Amino acid sequence: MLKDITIGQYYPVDSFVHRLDPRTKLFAMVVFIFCLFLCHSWLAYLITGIVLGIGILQAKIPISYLLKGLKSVFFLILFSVSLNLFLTSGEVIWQFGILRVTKEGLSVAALMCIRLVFLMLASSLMTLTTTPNQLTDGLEKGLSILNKIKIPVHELAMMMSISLRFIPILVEETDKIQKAQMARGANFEKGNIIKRAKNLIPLFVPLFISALRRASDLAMAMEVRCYRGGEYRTKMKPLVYQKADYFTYAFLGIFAIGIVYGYVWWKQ
Amino acid sequence: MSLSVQNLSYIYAKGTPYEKKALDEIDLEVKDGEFLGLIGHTGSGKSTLIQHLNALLKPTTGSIFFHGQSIYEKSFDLNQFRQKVGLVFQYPEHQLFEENVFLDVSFGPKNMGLSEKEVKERARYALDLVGLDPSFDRRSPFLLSGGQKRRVAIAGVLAMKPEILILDEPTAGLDPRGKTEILDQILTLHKTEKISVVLVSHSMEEIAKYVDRLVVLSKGKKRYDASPAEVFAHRQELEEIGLLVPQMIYIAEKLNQRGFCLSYDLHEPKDLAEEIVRQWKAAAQKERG
Repeated sequence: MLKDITIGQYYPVDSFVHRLDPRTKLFAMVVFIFCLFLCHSWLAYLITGIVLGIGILQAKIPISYLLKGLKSVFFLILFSVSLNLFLTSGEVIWQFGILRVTKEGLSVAALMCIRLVFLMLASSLMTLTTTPNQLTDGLEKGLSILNKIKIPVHELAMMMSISLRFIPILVEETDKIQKAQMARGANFEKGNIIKRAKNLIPLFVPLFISALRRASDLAMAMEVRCYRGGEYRTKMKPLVYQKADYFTYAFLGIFAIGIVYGYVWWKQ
Repeated sequence: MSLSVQNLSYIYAKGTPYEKKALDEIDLEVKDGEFLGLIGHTGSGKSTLIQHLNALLKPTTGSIFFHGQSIYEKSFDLNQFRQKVGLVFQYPEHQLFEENVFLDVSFGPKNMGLSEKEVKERARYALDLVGLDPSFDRRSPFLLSGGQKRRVAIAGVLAMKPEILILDEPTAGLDPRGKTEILDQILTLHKTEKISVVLVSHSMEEIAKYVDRLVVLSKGKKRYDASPAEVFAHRQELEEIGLLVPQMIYIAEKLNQRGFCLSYDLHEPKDLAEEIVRQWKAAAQKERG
């Protein structure tokens, strides 16, 4: 069922990573991904992997739960790996018709696979340990400097948190409408592709109607409470950096310098 | 014995931190031609249970038998089963999608693969049952009032001519008059069409006078399964699980403590008042004589 989708859903436990400031985690994710794309040797990947592993261990999230999220991008990974595997030129080690595998292709594909898996794990580590509200708070505060060049950061963050908030609601609604139509004999799995698309009408029409209704209700509720954006707005729980955050920044700094240094050395 | 649930348990989101036992070893029987009330506080598992009755959820353990046949067997025709057991969800008006009332009600029978003539007959039959005359046929379901929308949605299920009709809080969000109208109509349906009805609610006050039998759920477990009068005798235990018995029962209970002998079977205030007067007069006469 749709409800079982777990990619990036907040995992409620208390851990070092959960307690970190969302800004720290956001920054850490960006730095990590940046470093990931500078990795060109097995040693660099090993170090990156260790850093990621420490993060996962500290977050107290079961590995099996984390890996379940990978299932959804399995085909994407498979696709890019096979492209790299078959389309890289070099020393041929296996050939069948137009398909041929080269030594270089093998190593590029393996590294690509690791890179994608790490990328996915790092970003889900971020969303698994941060509630959507913290995330948008972190974004808003972290990017507040952009206010100076007239970018409405608060409004953008608000839009993001509303859309994040609506995802589970709409998933639940879809599930409910789907069941209601199934109880009336609708079948969402039978028939060819055109028939199937047509069968979705009884699902999508009520879903759109309810999404629009919810959106207009929300807009009304915000208006009657005199919502007017971020001006003069204060927070009940303002974000303040703790010791752990400075420690994480320092750790990340060392990691990033190491990787960049390695990259520069590799270039030469 | 038309629908029987045996030892049914269901766990939501198993293996995640959101895991929750929604149903815990439930046994339940819906007999032919019965009007059954299913009562429980919010989160007691009543909605989960009725989704099982329509095979929309698969239980973690346990089984359901329809006319003696297990519904989880591979050979069992689920489509046919879903027609026989009509399920009306909470706020059923949210499932409307067609451009007019008649077409929306036709959706169910059309899915059954009936002829066009039969589909039309069924749609008209169902709309008649819920009291919507042909002037509604060509109107858009989205422009009707809340109560009318709900009737259209209920008709959408009735058009499949179910043997058992399950309704999840059919009165939610309606005004008192709309509530009585819907419930009265369901009772009429039950009587004239001989449909078994399972009525889900959180208010005993509202459904007490309609049901033959009450099943009370609390935290996924079945707590009571008896006639309304028998269930109401457990006023205190019911209050502990967040349910209130009808106001009349409170009055009857207080009076019984002072020597009256009032039955919990009375559902109309007028009947109770007459009974009180009768007993009071009888007692006064006894004293004099």
